[in-house]
Amino acid sequence: MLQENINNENNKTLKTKIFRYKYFIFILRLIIGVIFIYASFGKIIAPNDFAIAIKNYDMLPYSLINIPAIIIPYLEFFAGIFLIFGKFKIGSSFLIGLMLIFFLIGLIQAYARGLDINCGCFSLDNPNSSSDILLRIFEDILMLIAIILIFLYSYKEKLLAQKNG
Amino acid sequence: MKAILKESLIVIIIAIIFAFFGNILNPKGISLFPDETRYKIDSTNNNIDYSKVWNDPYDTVNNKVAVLSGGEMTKEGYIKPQNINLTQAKTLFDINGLFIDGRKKEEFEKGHIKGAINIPYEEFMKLTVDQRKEMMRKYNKNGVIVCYCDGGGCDVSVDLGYELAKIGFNSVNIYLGGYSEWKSKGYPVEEK
Repeated sequence: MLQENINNENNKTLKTKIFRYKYFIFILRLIIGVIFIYASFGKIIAPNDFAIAIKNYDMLPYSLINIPAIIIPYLEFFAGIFLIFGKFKIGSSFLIGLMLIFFLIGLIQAYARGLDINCGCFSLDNPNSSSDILLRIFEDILMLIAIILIFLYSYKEKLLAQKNG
Repeated sequence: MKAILKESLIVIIIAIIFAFFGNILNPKGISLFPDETRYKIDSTNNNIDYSKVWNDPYDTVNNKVAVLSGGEMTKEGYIKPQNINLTQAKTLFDINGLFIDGRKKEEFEKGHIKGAINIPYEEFMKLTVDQRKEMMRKYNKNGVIVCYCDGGGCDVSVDLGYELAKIGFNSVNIYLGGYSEWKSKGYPVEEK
């Protein structure tokens, strides 16, 4: 009887824990999703400005800058949408994680080389661009941590679902 | 692992399909591959004799053709700016071409090509097209314009030059060597 009670208690705490996590992860998904959708708008409307921002990072040959300038904004948009609505959570969080890692590499190398650039992160016409690279690196790392949590949670959730059903 | 690949691929394919059609439908859409000649010296413009050119950048009454830029008409309907070298830039300087410095105000104030005006590219891009046109109304649409920036790796001269061409300037030249090359040759500058 006592043992049963303890088991029940354990189950309850486990459930509330998962329950709590669920909401925490949902809020994270909402935040990251909204940020990515918001960040994609300016770039979708003006791909040329984004192409110039990519060129200024000096990481790609000039002939190849337009393709990511066309595709990345839409990838941000759809990954954000799917993340919010909970469809393809694993894929979209994985892709957002990859993008954040690429952005981080770009930002860090630009900062290290002292490139005076517009980061191309959100608004494409920020004149005081070079000074806020450190802030962007910090934001990128925060988002990366959040998206890793989302990814791991979604992946585990999927594994659990597969086991149970 | 399979789930990661599968879901990622689905999201990527959806994004690519929308990106492709979105870019076609977008009036500001871009071509898949950029114009390679944009940031290089154009070897075909060497046959233009810049020395026989008359020019008045402020003649907005007659808008006389000072020089045929030699650049071809682009699909978008503007005359493509020409990338020029130091000698050509000096010739255009001597015939009173309008030199436009695309760098930030602070950099311009430290030192610039003599007689140049400052249009910081980033500030310029914040204006609407109409505001840009209004701002440039006092200059001859057919006058010789030479855009420049630091030289070396800077691109604002090129980007600014294309924006000026888009609002109707027909003889935009871009001096890629920029301020650093100009100054190193001892050509006229104004310094603080």
